[in-house]
Amino acid sequence: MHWSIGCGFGSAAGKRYLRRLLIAWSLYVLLLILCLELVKKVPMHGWVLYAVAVIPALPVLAVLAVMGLYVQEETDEYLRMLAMRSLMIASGALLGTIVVNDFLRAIAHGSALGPFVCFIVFFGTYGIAQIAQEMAARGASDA
Amino acid sequence: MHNRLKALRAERGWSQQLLAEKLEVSRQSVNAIETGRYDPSLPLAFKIARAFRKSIEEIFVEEP
Repeated sequence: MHWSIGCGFGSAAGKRYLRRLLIAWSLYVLLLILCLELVKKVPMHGWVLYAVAVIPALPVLAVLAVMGLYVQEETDEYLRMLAMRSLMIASGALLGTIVVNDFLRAIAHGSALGPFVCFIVFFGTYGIAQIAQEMAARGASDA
Repeated sequence: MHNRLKALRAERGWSQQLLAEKLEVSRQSVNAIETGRYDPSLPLAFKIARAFRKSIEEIFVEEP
């Protein structure tokens, strides 16, 4: 198994995916720190504040695009199926979380989801699904 | 779907990696097909058949 380079991302498309992912997440960390510092040091309001607040979200949107590109570029149909399955599981977990929270809010007047919960649920579930599938494959291979 | 991939590979002394290279897929794919966890698409099944110089029916057998 290709544990050294990620869960099933040993193909050419997989390597491109990991490289793009690294760039996008690095940009995210950099922009997040820059924007937080900027908001702290420079008084701003209105559309300028909104624009600065949205900047760190752009690399996260890029990550979603990178995931889509991987599915499009992966020529190995089995690896593409694994990625699609992980995306489906992550989407299900995200939608499930939102639906349950919406009912809690509507009927039990529960509180709204905290910031970044959707983000954590989606990417966390995607990662767990990828690792679980890789471990299952390894188990079947060892058997 | 049952398949004779492992037996055919053993007959030729091919490793999973070598077969994966011939088919231009990952070793995980070969392993998943061999262990029955994944049924290949028709184009990949044709590619496998060509690699072993067999017909698809000689490699893949429908489960009863």
